[in-house]
This record gives sequence, structure tokens and C-alpha cells, in this order.
Amino acid sequence: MEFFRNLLSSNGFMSHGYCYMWKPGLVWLHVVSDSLIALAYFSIPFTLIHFIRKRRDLPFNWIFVCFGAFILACGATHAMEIWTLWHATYWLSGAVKIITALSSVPTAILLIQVVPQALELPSPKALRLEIAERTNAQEALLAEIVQRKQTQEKLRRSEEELHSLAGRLITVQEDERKRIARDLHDDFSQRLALHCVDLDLQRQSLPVGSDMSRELERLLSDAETLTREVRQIAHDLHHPQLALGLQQGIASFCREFSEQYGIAAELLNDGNLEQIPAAVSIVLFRVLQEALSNVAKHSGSDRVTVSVSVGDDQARMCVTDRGRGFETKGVQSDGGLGLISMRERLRLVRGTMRVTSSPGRGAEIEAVVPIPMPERSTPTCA
Amino acid sequence: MKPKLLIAEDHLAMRAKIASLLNGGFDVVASVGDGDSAVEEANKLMPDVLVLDVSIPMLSGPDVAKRLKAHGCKAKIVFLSVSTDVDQINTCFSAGGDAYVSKMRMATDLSYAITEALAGRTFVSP
Repeated sequence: MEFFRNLLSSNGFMSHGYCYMWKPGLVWLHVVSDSLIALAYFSIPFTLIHFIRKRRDLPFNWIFVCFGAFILACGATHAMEIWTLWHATYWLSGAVKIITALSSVPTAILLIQVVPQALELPSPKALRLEIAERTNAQEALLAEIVQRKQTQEKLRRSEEELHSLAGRLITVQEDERKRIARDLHDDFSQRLALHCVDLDLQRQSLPVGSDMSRELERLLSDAETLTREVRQIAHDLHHPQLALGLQQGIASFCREFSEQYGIAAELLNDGNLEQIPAAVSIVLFRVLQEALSNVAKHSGSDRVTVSVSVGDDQARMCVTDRGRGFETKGVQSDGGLGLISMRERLRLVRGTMRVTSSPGRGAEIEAVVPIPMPERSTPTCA
Repeated sequence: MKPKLLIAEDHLAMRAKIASLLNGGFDVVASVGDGDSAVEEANKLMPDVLVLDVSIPMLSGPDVAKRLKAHGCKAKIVFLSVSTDVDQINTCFSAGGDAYVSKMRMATDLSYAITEALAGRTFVSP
């Protein structure tokens, strides 16, 4: 209590006004100046508080708090200067000054420590430069993205064109095969058959059992074999049943294969094969021909399963035998068994082929071709 | 009286050869080059025997046979082909054929096959 009484009493001192001899001009000069300074100092902390509230992202924002407290204290010292003109409470004035000192000295020290860190902060100019650089880089990146998209689009179109051409190539090739097959069947084999007839007629004109008759019989037999082979080539080039659709083409080919080689061919169909595009049908049929030819030549099996299915977005064909099998590594690399030819054909229609086999464990050739068809059942592979 | 014969074969040289092989023993009333003409001429000329190539244009040999048989045609039908495929032979007999002759062997087999067909028997080139 004594402390506060001392603090608020003049203790016999004279007010500052006496020092100025109460000269109104001097007194009012100090009053007005100190008032303005105090007002300015009191307003600054509010501005700082408003500033740091708006910019919560600023680093070292505690320094603004220190500044606020220090400036508020400074304002208080100037207010005390006005007060002490009339009231000689110099202890109170001194107390305000010590508070100001206690807030200003740490602020000054902290400021010294903060300055190097603050200097490291990029200046608005540097920031503007960096923003400009980044904007340029972003624009360049966007331009590149646009260019890449354009390139991708060109690539996609080119790929579409390529596959369209591949599809045409397949149908053109098939048409050519058909034409050659027709020529072989309709003309070449007919003319060979006529030669057979002539040979037969010549043979009939000779005495039965004569050397010449036997020789003509041999020639006739050879010519017959040749005619049948030419017909078979025509048949292989263009399987007439394929014209009735893939399902019938495959069924017919499997039946002929079984009759020709004595190998039971079981056919499993899943889905409507007729919805497979023509170019894909031709490729799958040719792959089947090649795969079954391999089974006949190499597998030693008396049974083969042909499974064809149409899925949501792909057609799948598996040719599986339980024959002697083979090492897939060597066969795939040197193009044995016509695998490269099958792969190349499939690639034309974006298809892929997988060969699974090992000695003694049979073989499976699986061809998968994507087809743009919605609403199909899931394909299965037997 | 010689049996009346209609030949349906699209290959000209082959058609001429068939005619030359049969001219002596049969009366070749017409030779046509496609299936439609074969049906038309057969209905018009009422031959005793139709010598029919399996793979003729417009209407295949078996289809010609089916159409004629469906309209009550009594002519015997002898098929000719380069092929000796069993499926094809079965198709031809199912369509109403009476004989099936390999073109390579027709110098020996054709006349005989026609005679057998006229006698109500079937024949297939060995």
C-alpha cells in the first residue's frame, strides 16, 4: 500500500510545468507533441494486431506482438510526459519507463536475432520474379501437355489407321486366297482331271496287263493324287465353310481334321461367335488351322480340344492337346511350329498368343483378340 | 431308244469331254453351265438322267437335285466331282443323288454309273 501511495504521490516534487515556467507556448508545444505521439503509438498496436490477424501465414509474427507491446509502452511514456506537466508523480512516470525499457530491450535483442532469418526471406521482387518464372514454366508445361496430347491423338489416329489397314490387309489377303483357291479348284483341278480321263482312255485302249497299260495306270494314279493335292491346297487356302461364319467354319474344319488324321477334335463354344468381326474371324481360323496342323504333326495325341469364346471385350481361342508337348523356350525363339506366323497374324488384329507346354504334358495355344463389343458373357478357356 | 441325258458342268472342256464320253450310248439333250439353267432345262426336257457337277455356279449340284426332287422330277441324278470327300458324297446322296463319280475316273465309271442309276442301283467311284 505504501508502495502504491508513493507511486501516485508527488512526494514534494514540482511538476514539469514549473520547469517550463508555465509558459503557455512551451507547455502546449509539449502537450500537443506528446499527445500526438501517444495517440500515434497507441494506434500502431491495433494496426499491427489487425495485420497479423489477416496474415497468419507470416513467419516471425511474434515479433509484431513484441513491437505492439513496446510501442504501447512508448505511447504510455509520452502520455506520462503530459501528466507530469501538472502532476509530479515521477515514480509512476519512472515505472512506466521501466516497463517500456523491459519491453523494448528484449524486442531490440530479438529483432537482432530475427534480422538474418528475415533477410533470408525472399523479397516481394524476388517473389514476383520467381512467380513469373514459375508461371512461364507452367505455361511451357501446359504447352507441352497440349502438344503431347496432340501427339498422342495423332498416334492414336495413326494406330487406328494402321489397324484399319491391317484389317483390310487381312480381307484383301483372304480375297486373294479365295481367288487362287477358285482358280485352282475351278480350272486347274478340272484340267488335271481331264488329263486323268485322257490317261484312262488311253489305258483302256491298250491290252489289259500290258506294260504300257500298267505304266498308264501308274501315271493315272499319280495324276489323281496330284489332283487331290491341288484340291486340298485350294481347300486350305480358302475354307468354303468359313463363308458361313466362324462357328460353322471351325466346326467343319474340326470335323474334317478328325476324319483326315484320326484325332478326335472336341469343340467347345461359348457366346455368339458370329459377332466376331470378319478380319478377326479369318485370323482365328488361320491360327486354328496352324495349331491343329501342329497337333497332327507333333503331338502324337489322339484327342484335341478347341475352345472358342466371346467375352465382354475379347474373343479367345484355346487349342489344347494332351500329347507329348515340347520345350516352349527354343520353339518360340526360332519360330518353330509356325508360332511367329500365328503371332504376326494375331498382331494385325491387336491379338496376343500364349503357348503353354512342357515335354510329356501336352500343349495349349491360347489366342486372345480384343473386340469392341459390349454386353457379352465372361470368356472361359477350357 | 437311248436314255435322254442332261449335262450340267461349268468347265467347258470338261463339259465337252463328258459329252464325248457319253454320246455313243446316250442321247445328250442339253448341256448347261449353271445350276439355275440345269433346273430350268430339266423341267423342260424331262431327261432320264441328269449328270450334275457338284460345284456349279448359281445353284450347287446338291441344291439342283433337291429342287428337282421337290418338284417330283423322276430323272436319275449322277453327281460328278474332283473331290472324293465323304461328307460331300453323303450330302449328294441326301439331296437325292443316285450315283457319285470321280471326274478323274469318269472314263471308266461314268457310263457304268448311269446304267446302274437307271437300273435303280446306286454307285460311288471307288
